[in-house]
Amino acid sequence: MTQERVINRMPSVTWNFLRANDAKIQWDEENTKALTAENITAGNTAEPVKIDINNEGSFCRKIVNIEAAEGQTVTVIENMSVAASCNMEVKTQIKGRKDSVIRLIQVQKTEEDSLLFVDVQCDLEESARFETVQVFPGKGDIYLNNQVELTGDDSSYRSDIGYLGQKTQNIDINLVVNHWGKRTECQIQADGALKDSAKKTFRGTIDLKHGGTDAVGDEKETVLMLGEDVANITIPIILCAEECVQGNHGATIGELDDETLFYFESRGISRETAEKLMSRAAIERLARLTGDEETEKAILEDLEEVL
Amino acid sequence: MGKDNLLEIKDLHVSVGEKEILHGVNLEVGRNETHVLMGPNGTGKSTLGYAITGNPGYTVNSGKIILDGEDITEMSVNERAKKGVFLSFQNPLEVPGVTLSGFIRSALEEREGRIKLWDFIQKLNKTMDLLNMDRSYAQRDLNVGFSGGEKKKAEILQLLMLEPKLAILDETDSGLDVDAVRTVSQGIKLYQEQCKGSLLIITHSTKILEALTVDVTHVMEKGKIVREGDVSLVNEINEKGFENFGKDAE
Repeated sequence: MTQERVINRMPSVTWNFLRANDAKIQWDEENTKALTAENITAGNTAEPVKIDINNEGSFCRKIVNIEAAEGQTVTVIENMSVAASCNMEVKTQIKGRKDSVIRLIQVQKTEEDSLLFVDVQCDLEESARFETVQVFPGKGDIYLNNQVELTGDDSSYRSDIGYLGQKTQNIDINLVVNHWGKRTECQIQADGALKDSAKKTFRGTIDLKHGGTDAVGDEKETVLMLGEDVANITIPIILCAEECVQGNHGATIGELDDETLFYFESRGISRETAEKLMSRAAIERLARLTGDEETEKAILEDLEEVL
Repeated sequence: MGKDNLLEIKDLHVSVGEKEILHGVNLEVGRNETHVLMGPNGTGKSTLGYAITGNPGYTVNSGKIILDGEDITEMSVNERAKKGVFLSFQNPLEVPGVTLSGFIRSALEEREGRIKLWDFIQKLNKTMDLLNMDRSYAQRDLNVGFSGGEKKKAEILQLLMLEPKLAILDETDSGLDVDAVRTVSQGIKLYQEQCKGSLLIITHSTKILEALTVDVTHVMEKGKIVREGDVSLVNEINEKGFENFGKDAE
């Protein structure tokens, strides 16, 4: 039996009436099938480690553990597929030891009326780096929760998120980066487009903790709204318990305005094509960022399919 | 319409909001000709460029714009562009997320249908090399973070890739250093030679004209063309400024 499950809760809540403090999903814990867990250790191969994660049954959960030992580098590519009317949770737990570099590329392909909850938990030691490229060109509802602990001094995190929301799709993103160490850095870039009646919520919390001197956190978001019924909620939060730190945020929420449309049309590009080009833009950028030809091709093919 | 004219503008009156900016402009541009439109600030030069391109912010109250024998006065912006009208913007817009390469390719595909990626890349690389443009700019977001010079080069790159019949260059040389003006000027010369198109160059400065063959010079004052002549008119303006032309407008 499904029950309400609260996920993506912000560490520092805002007004309840905004209904943005967390997300609620219907989940059947009793009948959740545990998929075989994966354990990945950096250094075993120089090639990216690719994992295909496909749903089994109506509710399922997959756990992926990634550990990078001191000075090691690893790239993990997770390709997630969820069939119509199915629900899947993918939890990726990461430990980055001193001077390690971990790249996590997550690409999803979901059918309509499906739900995917992507949960990423990462803890970094001194001078470790974590990079995520998370691409969401699917059709189903997406819930993304990235929780990153910059525990070690000089550790850093880079997040790139790209999405395309269509029809009645719901995209709910929660990012929390805790800057515990000194001189830690994070950069968050979330870009996407919303069409039809799609809804997107972005919560981005950069928490500059006491003791984390000279930390720098930066979050930027660009949302292109291409439908009259789309809904966008953006909540950038910078918490600061230390004096010598920097926290920046910027959000561009736009439409295809007259000036931009004129520029496109002056080159013979119609409004329809201009909207399509801009809808694809965020996903295409991230497809190139993956640095993996096969993954890039798959993303672009998925994009063709959904558009 | 004259036998060899590509563009003919007849008694064009154009308003922006309630204010009329152009008060009966007449202009003819022949095929493969280069025309220069000069005049002080605020006389309506850019307005004419926007009106020819069909910017919906500019209302044509009366008059006609004829391109290649066809009345385009009522046509939409993208239809005009497909017919061969191109405007190089004075301040090209930044479009985050859309690459320069993707933008040009889409423009070509709208006109010609699907084009082969390999052929497109070959032509793009070759044209970028001619303009001394770093090829990495093709994969960068359109005009985002480009210097003033790179933005103008990106406009000329589009001109050479799209090969329009009529190119209107609106202050393409403004804000450029000497080297950038030279490169842009070379790009325009290439358009003259390779594409055999017609040019209407809106400018204050004459630096950009040095490497080009100018057929006709028009001087605009207070929303009207007040003088026309050959390239010697450019020299006259250089020496005496626009002061004398103001009387002609009144």
